[in-house]
Amino acid sequence: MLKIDNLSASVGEGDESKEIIKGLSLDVPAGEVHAIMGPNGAGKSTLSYVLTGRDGYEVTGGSVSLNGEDMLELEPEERAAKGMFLSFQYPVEIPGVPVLTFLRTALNSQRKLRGEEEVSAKDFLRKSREVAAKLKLTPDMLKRFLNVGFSGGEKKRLEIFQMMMLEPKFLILDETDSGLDIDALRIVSEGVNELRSPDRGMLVITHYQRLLDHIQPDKVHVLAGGKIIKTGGPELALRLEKEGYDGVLSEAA
Amino acid sequence: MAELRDLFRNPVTSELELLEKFGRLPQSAQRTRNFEAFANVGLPHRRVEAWKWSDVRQAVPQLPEVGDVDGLSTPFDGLSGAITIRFGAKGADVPKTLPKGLRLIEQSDGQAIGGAEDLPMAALGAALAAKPGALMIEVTETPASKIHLRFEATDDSQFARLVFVLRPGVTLEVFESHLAPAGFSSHVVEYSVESDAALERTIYQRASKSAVQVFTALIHLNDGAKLVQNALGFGAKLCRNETRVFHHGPGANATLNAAYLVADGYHYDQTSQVRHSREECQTTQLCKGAVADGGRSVFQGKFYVARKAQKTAAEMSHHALILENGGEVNAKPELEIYADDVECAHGNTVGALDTDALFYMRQRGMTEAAARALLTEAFITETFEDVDASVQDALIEEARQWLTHQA
Repeated sequence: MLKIDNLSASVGEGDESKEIIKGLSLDVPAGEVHAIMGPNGAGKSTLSYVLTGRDGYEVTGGSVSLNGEDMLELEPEERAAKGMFLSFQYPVEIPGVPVLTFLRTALNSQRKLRGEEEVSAKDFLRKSREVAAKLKLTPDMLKRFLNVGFSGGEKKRLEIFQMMMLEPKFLILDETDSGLDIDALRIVSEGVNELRSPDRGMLVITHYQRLLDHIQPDKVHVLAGGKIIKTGGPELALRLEKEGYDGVLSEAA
Repeated sequence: MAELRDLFRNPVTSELELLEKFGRLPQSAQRTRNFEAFANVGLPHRRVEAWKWSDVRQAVPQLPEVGDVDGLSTPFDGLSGAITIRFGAKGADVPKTLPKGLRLIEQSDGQAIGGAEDLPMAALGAALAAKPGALMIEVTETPASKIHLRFEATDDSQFARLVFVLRPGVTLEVFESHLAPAGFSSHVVEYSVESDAALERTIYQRASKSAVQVFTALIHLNDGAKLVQNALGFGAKLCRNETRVFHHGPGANATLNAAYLVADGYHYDQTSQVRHSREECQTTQLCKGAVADGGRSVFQGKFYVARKAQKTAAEMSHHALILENGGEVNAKPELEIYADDVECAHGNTVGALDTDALFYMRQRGMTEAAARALLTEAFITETFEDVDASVQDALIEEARQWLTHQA
C-alpha cells in the first residue's frame, strides 16, 4: 500500500530552507491503520503535506509510493485521483462555494483524471443524503459555503463527510481529534472506522492517545526529529500517554 | 465652428475629426451646448483628475479605421418577452409599437446634459447623438415587457443618447448590452425616476481589444424612488462604465453592484458618483473584479453627502483579485460628507487567490486551473445576488466561460 523509503524533505526556499523530514521510512500495508505520534515540531504535519504534494515542501531524498506507483512526481490532484486523501488539521474555508457543489466538482474532477465517467446528479445526491445522516449533518449545512462559519467540530465532520463520499484508497488524518468534544469525536471515529477495509490503509497523525481509543491502530510509530524513532503496537500509545515523550526520546538517543 | 475649434487646446486629430462630424449634423442649441462642454476639456486624458487612469485621448489619437467587423452576442438576446431597442451605426431602431405604458417622444432638441462640464464624454455622446436631440421614452405605467437596449458600436465613431422618464410608482426593468466590436463610441442613458418609482438596470459589456468605449448613465431618484443596478463587464482597449446617481428626494434607495473580468490587453473602468442631497437616502455599492496578467482595471467610487442629507446610510466596497503577477488594479474610493448624522463606510481590497484554499481544493482532486476558476467565480458572483432571476444563470455562465478560457 503506502511505502515511504528514507524520505527527506525541507520547507522554505533558498537560505530560509529547513530540513524537517530526515530519512523517514514507513510501510503501511493495505487493511492496516497506523498511528504517528510525536511531540510538537517533530514534522507530523510536514509529513502529511509532503505526502500530498503541497507547494513549498521540497523532497530532497527518498521515495513515496502508493500500491507501487511513485507519488512524488505527481501533482496534488493526481495523487488525490490515485486515492490519497488528507483530512486537514485546519480545514480551509472556501467562501462562495457550497459544500455539495465543491464535493461534486472534486469527485467528478477525480473521476475525469482516472478516465471514468461523471457521477450522475441523482446518484450523487442520494449518496450524500445517506452519508450526511450518518454524520448528523443537516441538509441545510450542505448548502452552506464549505467550512465558512462552521464550528471546529462541524469542520472535522465535513472532512469525514468528504472522505466517505470520495472513498479514497489511503487516508491521512492530521490531528483529526483536535477541537472535538466527546460526542463529535465519537461520530468522527465511527465514520473513519466504517471506512476500514482490507484494501484501504490509514495513517492517523495525532498528539494524544485519546483518538486511538476510538480508532484502534495496528501499529504506533513515534516521530521525532524528522524520523521514526520507535514502532510498536497500541500499547506504545498508552505508554506515551502515561510517560510523555521524554522516556521514548531518551531511549532513542 | 472656428469658435468651437478655439475651445480645444492643442487639438489632436481625433478631436478635429469629431468637430467636423459635429459640423455636418443639424445644428441645435442642445448640441452646441453639449459640444462646447466637450470641447472645453477635449478627449479626457491623464491630467484630468477623473480620467487619470483612463486616458481616452491617448487611446484615440485619430478615429480608428474600421473594416468589416463581426458582431458580438449578449446573454440578453435570449430574454423572453423583452422588446429590443437597437443602437447601431445607422442610429436608433425603435420598434414601431411599444408595450402599453411606454410612450416615445422624439424631441427636436431637448436639454443639454446636466453637469455636462464635468462629463466630457457624455457631453460628446449627446452632442453627436445619431437622432436629432434626445430620444425620450415616458413610462406612464409599469409595462408588461422588459426593455433591452442593445448598443453595438461598429463604426469609426458612434454616439447615442436616450432619456427615460419613469412616472410616479412605475417599475421598469432595463437590460443594457454595451457591445463594441470596433471603433470609438460614447453612449448616454438618462433616467428620471419619479417618486416611489423603481428602476432595475442590468448591464452587460463586451468589446474587442481594439474598441474604445464609454457609456454613461445619469440617474435621478426622487422621493422614495429605488434603483437596483447590476453590471458585468469585460473591458475593451479602453472601456469606461460610468454611473451618476442623484438622490434628490428623501428616502431614495440605490443598490449598485458590478463585476468585472479583465483579460490580457483589456482595460475596464468602473466609475460612479452618488450624490445624497436629501434625508434618509440609502446607497449600497459592491464591486468585485478579477484581473489577469496584462489586464488593467479601474474603480473610482465617490459618495457625496450634502449638509441637508441627514440619516444617509451609504456603504461602498470594492474587492479585486489579481490572478497573476502583471495584472493591474487602480482604485479610488472617496467619501465627501457634510452632514453629521450619517452612517457611511467604504472598504477596498486587492489581493491574490488564497494559496491554502487552492491546495485544499487540489488535494480533493481539482486541477489547479479548475480550483482557480471556481474560487474566482465564487468571488465574482457574490455581486450577482440581486440580479434578475431571468438572467442570473446566464451571467454566471458568461463569467464561467471567461474563467475557463483564462485557464
